[in-house]
Amino acid sequence: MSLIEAKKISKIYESAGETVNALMDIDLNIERGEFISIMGPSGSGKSTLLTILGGLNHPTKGELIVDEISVYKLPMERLADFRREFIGFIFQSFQLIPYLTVIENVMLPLSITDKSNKEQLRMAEEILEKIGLKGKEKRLPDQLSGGEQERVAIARALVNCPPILLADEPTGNLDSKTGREIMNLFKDLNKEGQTIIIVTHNPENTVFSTRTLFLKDGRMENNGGNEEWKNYSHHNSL
Amino acid sequence: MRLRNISLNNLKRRKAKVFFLILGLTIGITTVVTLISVIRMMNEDISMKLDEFGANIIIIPRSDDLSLSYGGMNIGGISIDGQSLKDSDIPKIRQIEVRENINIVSPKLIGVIEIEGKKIPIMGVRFEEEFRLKKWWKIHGAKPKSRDEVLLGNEAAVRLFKSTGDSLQINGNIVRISGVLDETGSQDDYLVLGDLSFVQEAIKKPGALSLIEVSAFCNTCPIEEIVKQISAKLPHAKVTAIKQTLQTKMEALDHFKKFSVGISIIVLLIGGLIVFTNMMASVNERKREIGIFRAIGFRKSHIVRIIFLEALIVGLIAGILGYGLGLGVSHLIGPILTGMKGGKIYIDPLLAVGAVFLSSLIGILSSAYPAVKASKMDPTTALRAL
Repeated sequence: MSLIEAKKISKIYESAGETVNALMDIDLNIERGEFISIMGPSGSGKSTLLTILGGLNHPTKGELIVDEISVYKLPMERLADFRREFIGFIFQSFQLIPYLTVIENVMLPLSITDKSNKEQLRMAEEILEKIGLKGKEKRLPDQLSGGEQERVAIARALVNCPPILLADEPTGNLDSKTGREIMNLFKDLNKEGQTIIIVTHNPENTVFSTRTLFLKDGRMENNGGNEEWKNYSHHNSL
Repeated sequence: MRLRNISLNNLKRRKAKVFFLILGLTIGITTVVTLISVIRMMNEDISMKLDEFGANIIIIPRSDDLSLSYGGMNIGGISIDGQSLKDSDIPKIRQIEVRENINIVSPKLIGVIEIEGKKIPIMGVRFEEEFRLKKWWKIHGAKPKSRDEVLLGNEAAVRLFKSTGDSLQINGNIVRISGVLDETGSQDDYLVLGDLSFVQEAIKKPGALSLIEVSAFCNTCPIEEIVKQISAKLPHAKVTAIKQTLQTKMEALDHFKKFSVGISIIVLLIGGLIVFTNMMASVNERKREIGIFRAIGFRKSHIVRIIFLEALIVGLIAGILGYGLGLGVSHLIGPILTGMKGGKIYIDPLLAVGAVFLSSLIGILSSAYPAVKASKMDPTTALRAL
């Protein structure tokens, strides 16, 4: 069975009496260890799909099953637990807590577990070393470069070893060199077995992924491997 | 890393806002502590003054005989049935359960003697107790130092045409007039005041008493209780509380207490409102942050705990500061309000705990709505702004 199974997922927003179909009948299966890029123009529903996959946004219709759990049938508080246990979320613009140090930001998801302070510290230091931020534990986010902040966000998302890593435009606020470094880091993590799903505007990022999905007007235009994506992008001049 | 680290770090980040938040609550607690302390000081001061002012309990013999009045009080048929109170009754008064409330016990024997052909009322007293009871007495001369010395009331001195240093013959005994009382406006003006045992012998009523005046501290014990306990010890006597004195005291204190409660409620409401608006503003400012917390798996209860913890820390600090400042302010304004010189500072652990508890409670209650609002924040709504 797939790690993630989305069945006929639709999301309709109502705003000022107007109905917007953000997503329509999305069917999607993601296996463990895949690295998925979700591409598409602005307003195509990429971020909406990502938040639905992350247990953050109730779909209007359809069902999301993760590791045999029907996510949106969970009560509200269990849904929070699901996010903590299954999902590592990397937000656009990093979204670090400005008044917490690097190490505290990384330990944030652990602060609500029963892990001891010592254990939390060990886990956070380990992940910071892995992503190349050793020695910067005591700094505040605004004392770091954009690339370093992104790495802290990645460390925070990975610290409690969630099976799924979701990233919304992870290179959107970075220069191309730093962006490539971050994508290489994702690739390395994926090689170690981490399932990764990213939303990106940048077609260059798709070369790092194992599969690229293309959304347009809330519909899935392509759901295949990278070869299919290459053909699709070539035909559609993307 | 625990939730408390998040609360503490957030408070440290918002130093200026937290300062005003603590200040608002501190002012409220300071006001309450000051009012409570001042009420306590006033209570003690009024009680002390009234207790010092004179007797608030009068014990007279039970008698159906013709009544006699002394000091505006009916003292029973003393001239006919003066034997029903005795010297031996005095220690019994100091044996009651609430004996620590008994301040002065002043026994008296009243009779009539003939001096130089004039019938003059005489009162035997224990001068030591009597002077403590009647602090308003002013003497021309000196206090009697022995059984052979007497005091004269102002009118009695005029009637007998005697003054300080003169002698009197009472039933064959020569006594010296050690002093004459200034006019008191009471029946004391008409009396010859002698030592109790001397008067008992002079009017041939050894061991007899006409009445006993008692000054009791009724600050910590209701006067009715003292009266009840003395009555039980002296079943042959009629024990009466001078209610008017007490009622005046209680009414004055009650008015001030009601006023203080009103002021305290208003000030605490304002303090609570400051906490509420500050916490609401904080929650609105932290929408993004709360969205992140929820997205990474924080439960609603975790968000509520973070906000309540912040309110609790603020409340604890304000409670401690408010108690300390309240003591200081009451020390400064207490003497002005009570007219006491150098008001005392009472470190009351109960008031300290109460102040900190009240402050924390206001902090938490005022933060309840902001906390619930924050916890109900939809993470996607909060994250939409990301």
